[in-house]
Amino acid sequence: MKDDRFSALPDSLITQILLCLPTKDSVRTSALSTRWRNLWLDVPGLVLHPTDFPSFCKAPAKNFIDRFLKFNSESRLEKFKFKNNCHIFHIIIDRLKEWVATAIDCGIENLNIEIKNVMYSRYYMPMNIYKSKTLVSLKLAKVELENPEFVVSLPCLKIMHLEDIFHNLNGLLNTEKLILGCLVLEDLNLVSSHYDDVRTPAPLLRVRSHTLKIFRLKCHPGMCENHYGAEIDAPRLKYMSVKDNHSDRIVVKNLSSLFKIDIDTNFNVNFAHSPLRADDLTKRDIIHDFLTGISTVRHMIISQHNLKVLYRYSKLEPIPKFHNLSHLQVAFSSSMLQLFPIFLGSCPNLKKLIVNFSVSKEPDQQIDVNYVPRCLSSTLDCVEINKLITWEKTGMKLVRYIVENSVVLMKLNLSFTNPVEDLDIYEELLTAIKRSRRCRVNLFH
Amino acid sequence: MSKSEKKIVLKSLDNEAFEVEKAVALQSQTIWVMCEDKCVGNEIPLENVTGQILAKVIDYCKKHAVVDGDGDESSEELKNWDTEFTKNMDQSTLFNMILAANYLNIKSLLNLTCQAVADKTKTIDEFHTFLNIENNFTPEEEAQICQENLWAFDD
Repeated sequence: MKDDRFSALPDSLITQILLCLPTKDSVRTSALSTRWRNLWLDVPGLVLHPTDFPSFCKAPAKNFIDRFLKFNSESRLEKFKFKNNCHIFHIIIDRLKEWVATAIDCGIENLNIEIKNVMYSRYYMPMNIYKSKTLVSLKLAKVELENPEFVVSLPCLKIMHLEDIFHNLNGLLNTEKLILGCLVLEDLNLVSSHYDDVRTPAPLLRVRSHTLKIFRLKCHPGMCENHYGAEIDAPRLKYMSVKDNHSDRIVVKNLSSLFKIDIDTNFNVNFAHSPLRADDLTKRDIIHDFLTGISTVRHMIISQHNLKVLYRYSKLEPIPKFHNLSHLQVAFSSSMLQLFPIFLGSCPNLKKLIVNFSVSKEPDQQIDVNYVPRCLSSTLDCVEINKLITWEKTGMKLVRYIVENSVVLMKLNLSFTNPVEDLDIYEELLTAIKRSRRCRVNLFH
Repeated sequence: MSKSEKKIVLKSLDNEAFEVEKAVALQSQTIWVMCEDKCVGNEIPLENVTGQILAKVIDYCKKHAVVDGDGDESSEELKNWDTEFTKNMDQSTLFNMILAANYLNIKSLLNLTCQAVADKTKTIDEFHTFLNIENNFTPEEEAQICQENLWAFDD
């Protein structure tokens, strides 16, 4: 016996369900029954996907979108989502600006426009995008933003994701204006934007927000020809991710709330051509200020690129201490093992360590076995080392160093990339040499 | 604020009482307004929600309560939790969850449960069956409707 209660739902809830269906299916519900005849027009949003419209249906698609927006011109829309990752939309896309403008006038809350597979965009966004009183989430990819001549005001915007945005003029300034105009912004994601106003030798994108909690900055390799730095001033920031190997400078200010950081940036220190030199005081200061600025962080994920820079840096001056850091995930190669105890020495209260090990083509290094950082003897209780190879000596030496020196270790997980037949033997060996008697050793492959 | 003020009691239609942290309950705009108005004491009667459904709603709110911690790590885990949360709900539970989310005005739960209904019906025929809709169109009327938005009916 089928339950008929769904039909008892009020129209406003039926349309909420329809909003979750692909637009095509939502329109098809018009043929279900008389009650459903025009319900699809009341759906509080529009989600368009190129596969909804076969290439020969451009005119009907236009008519449909026009009809939908006209029908809803007085009502409040929640969502307008337009994703184009193939070429078939190119002909109807000329109306995009107008549709977005209409959607914003309808009081849209979530706007998501993604144009993919185009090298150069002329898909302009309308000017009213800068003064929407209703937008909560704005996600744009590969569209063009024009410079507003007025003060940006987005009083409700909490989430802003900007990816590969084209700016006609003053892109950095434009982005800064946008960020400053968001009074309650919590989540900001900036990916490889194209700023063509790089006049000064070291342009800086200033991200200043008193409400921001999550910030991600990413640059696709090879995408950012214009090198610009970033300055982040966000006293309530909890999570920051920086994946950018182009920026010369990343300046951080007031990051006392920072909980977790995921960094992959080499500060534009290129090893083959321009290694970090002792006399390059400017760069040394930039790195020093960055590390000090994030020093209250509790959870850190750090890439091999970053470690290379830190390795060079550690030879010139000591790495600042991360007193609050309890959780560290790090990518170490066999050629950087000298840094291992030094870096752990900067994390005096570390509790959990995850190492993704890799074998480098460069010469292997030895750990200074005489130096034991404080966390090994007092706080470190969980270690995971991944991608070990049984016959590779450096990695096994690292394991030995940890096992022999960790006093309070409770759990050691080792995973090998090569098949190991006698895991038991390794387990016995490690058990025999372990310093912490309560430590459980687990091996995987 | 004393410890007791941080807690709140929610009473279901069938008189089941749930004591929860205020921060958990305030995700419901309806409860938030009730508390703001101070028109209720420490016990809030929810006349449209059964205990069985309210327990699930509270599970959801507990999981989604703002906790002190990092901003990002949880988001992926939270999504997985949401998926699991609705995955095995039957039609009648989903129906009641939608009504409860709407009544309690918890926007994210309403979105989640509506999405779950949409996800359970991959084709329009399934949607038809799932919602148990009786077609009362004549074939001619149906053909005309299809004609209006031909692009959507073209397979």
